[in-house]
Amino acid sequence: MSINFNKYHWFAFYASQQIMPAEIRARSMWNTDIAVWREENGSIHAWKNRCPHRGMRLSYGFIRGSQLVCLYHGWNYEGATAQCSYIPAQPNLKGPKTACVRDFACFEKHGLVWISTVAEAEKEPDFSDFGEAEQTIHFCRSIFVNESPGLVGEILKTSIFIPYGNDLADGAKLKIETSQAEHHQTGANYQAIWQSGRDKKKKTELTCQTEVRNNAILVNHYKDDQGNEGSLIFALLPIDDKKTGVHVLFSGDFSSQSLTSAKRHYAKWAKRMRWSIENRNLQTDSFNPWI
Amino acid sequence: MKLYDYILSGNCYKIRLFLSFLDINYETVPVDYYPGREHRFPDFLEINPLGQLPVLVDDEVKLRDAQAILIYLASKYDTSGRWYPRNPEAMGKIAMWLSFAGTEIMNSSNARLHDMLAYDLDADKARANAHAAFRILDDHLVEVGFAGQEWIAGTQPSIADVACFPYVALSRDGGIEHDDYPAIQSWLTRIQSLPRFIDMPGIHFMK
Amino acid sequence: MSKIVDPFTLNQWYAVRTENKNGPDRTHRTRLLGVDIICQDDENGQVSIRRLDRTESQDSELPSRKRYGLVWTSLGMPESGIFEMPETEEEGRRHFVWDAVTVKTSGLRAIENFLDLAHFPYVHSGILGEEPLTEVTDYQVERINNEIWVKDCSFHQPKAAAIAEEGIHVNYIYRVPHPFVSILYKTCPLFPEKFDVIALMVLPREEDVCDIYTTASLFDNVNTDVEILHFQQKIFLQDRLILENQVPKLLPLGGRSEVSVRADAASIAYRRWLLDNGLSYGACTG
Ligand SMILES: N[C@@H](CCC(=O)N[C@@H](CS)C(=O)NCC(=O)O)C(=O)O
Ligand code: FES
Ligand SMILES: [Fe+2]
Repeated sequence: MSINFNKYHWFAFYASQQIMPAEIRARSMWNTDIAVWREENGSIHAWKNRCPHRGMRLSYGFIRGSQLVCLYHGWNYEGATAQCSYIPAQPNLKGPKTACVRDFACFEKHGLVWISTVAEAEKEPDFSDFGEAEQTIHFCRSIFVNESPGLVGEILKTSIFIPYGNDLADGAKLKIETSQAEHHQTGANYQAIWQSGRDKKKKTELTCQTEVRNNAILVNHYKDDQGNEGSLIFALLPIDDKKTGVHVLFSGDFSSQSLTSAKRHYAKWAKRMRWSIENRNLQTDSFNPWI
Repeated sequence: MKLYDYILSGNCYKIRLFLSFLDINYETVPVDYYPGREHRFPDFLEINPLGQLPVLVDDEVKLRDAQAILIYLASKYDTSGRWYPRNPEAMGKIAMWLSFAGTEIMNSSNARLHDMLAYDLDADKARANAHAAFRILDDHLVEVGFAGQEWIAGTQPSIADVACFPYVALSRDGGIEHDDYPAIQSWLTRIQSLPRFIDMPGIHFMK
Repeated sequence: MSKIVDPFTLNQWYAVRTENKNGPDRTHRTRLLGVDIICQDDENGQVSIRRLDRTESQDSELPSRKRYGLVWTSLGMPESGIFEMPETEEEGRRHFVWDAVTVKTSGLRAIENFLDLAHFPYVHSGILGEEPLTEVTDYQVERINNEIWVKDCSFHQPKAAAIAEEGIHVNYIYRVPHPFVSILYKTCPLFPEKFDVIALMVLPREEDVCDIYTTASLFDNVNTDVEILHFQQKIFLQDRLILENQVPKLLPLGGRSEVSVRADAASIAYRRWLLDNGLSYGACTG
């Protein structure tokens, strides 16, 4: 079970909900600066973040209808073709053929925009085993860790978390039953006991199993003795060799109120996770944000 | 009403932006902050002994500090009451973020002054501190966003948003990118879409 | 010096300080073409300039000149004096020298931006241009005495200068006498038969970092110095946002990596002129 960041894969690039119609955002994937944007009708595009005219970063531009307009000289690029369609300085000139932005394959699924920088990327990520996936997978947040993708992946593979439904109040303790050695070797299967911070007598037994999908997605299936069951999913984005994006998602059935609490719960976990990875030198154990 | 103003100052822009939101007419007194350092000479030190911009003069009232000026303007001129709601919780939260805007977020200003106007400041340290502050703001916006709250201190834009906005938006002038803070980016866009939003160099309109 | 500087770049005069600005002990430190230098004023206001990468004192001394309110030096052997700008002596004009703003890009990108009309409606919207009046009509480009001259440019501007009260049609002439200097002449809103003169004097600190000094000789009998400063800085800092976000930072001279149209004739001529003069500092081949 190994995590693989080679570029022949789809990577989760951006959260769909963070790019509204007529908005543009950018970040890097393996050092390539990529702009993602939506037409006013909602269609999504992922383009190299550079205007072919004078190299301006397109993410500073703006969207009109189906066109991306560069901030520098207002050249228009048509969403569907990435081809320059209008040059304001020369309104009667047809955009030169060479004025074409490099575009990347992209699609939306499970609340994320997935990108591949090569044409022949492998198969799309699949979460159909979670049921009617679009409803049962929830996006929590994207979080950025100042460590290399390889390291973040390795640490997250053996990471430990507490399912929603358990109380994360101060003073809570987690004890891993599986031996350290075993835990590290098998990668991810572990059993643990969670002791509530509020009620010291309250203990929860927890089993967890991790799998890697499509090379850079970690799926943690969990079960506890309180009947909580579900999955926590980390879709990893290699930004560069010093930074990794982690899109945190989770599955399960929630009422709208408990969904909000579940998001808070996993967001809290995500922040602890970021702290633990970036402050490894202050820690004794392998990755466990509650030590 | 008279605003002692410098065109490139994010703190002065806080006030210009808010006056525009409130649709209030005022005069500006342009100050030669760079390169003239006019704010460090006796004429200006009489106006503000700290030698800082902005300063607002409204009849008998003379105020320094952008955050103080925002409180004054909202309290006096915002008839809707939404920019500075008078309830203890809202006032406490707004004060907390006003202070954040005047301290932590100012690291972004230091990096910008170094990179743009050659101020002798530790830019790498300022950048690191600004990133730490932006993380705190981004985490906050993510978390309140789960319950549908889109603004820093409540369900309506407040002076806390106005105070935090300029130096977050201008940080790229000082080499601090926004890529890692998607919730901040969505919030910046919301502010830029408010009625009567105005721009400044480094913060452009979204046409 | 990190990179061999081509002779065309090396043998130029560069503005390294304003005449009146000074640091503690009447010294001013800066960087020119990757070399640390120091300017030192004596009691009579004479400026001596030294490079700090050489130990022998006779090797470290650099020439020093004052012109246009700026202090100039060179790391090479300039073939001639500092270029002439006769307008700066004309009666009735107000002269300005504005201290440097640092921009993290090649100085050549900054000069090219200065020669460009097409960005006005987008980058300086409501001031130097406005949609839908975006068209750049044909203009002339010439080489005269190894300088670039761009003539017969015209553009509609909502607020051409601090003094302008309404939109006017502005004529432009540009002159590039030096790879890192450009001078523009534009219709003066006050006296439509006269030209205001604005010049950009770039100090390339490194290939991809520069300090930009601006001078102006304007007709304006209304605005204060500070009002004119604010107008100028507003425009200049709008450009800075663009300049710091162009990729790559070095100016491509190979003609392959950036697409040009007729409206870019000044930029193309500038790039070709740099190439013909063997310039490579601050440029790349793409
Ligand atoms: N706390 C003040 C700080 C204002 C401030 O730092 N202003 C800058 C201009 S943006 C200034 O005048 N600095 C002058 C100095 O400290 O030298 C506020 O929020 O208004
Ligand atoms: S650089 Fe994009 S339009 Fe000119
Ligand atoms: Fe410009």
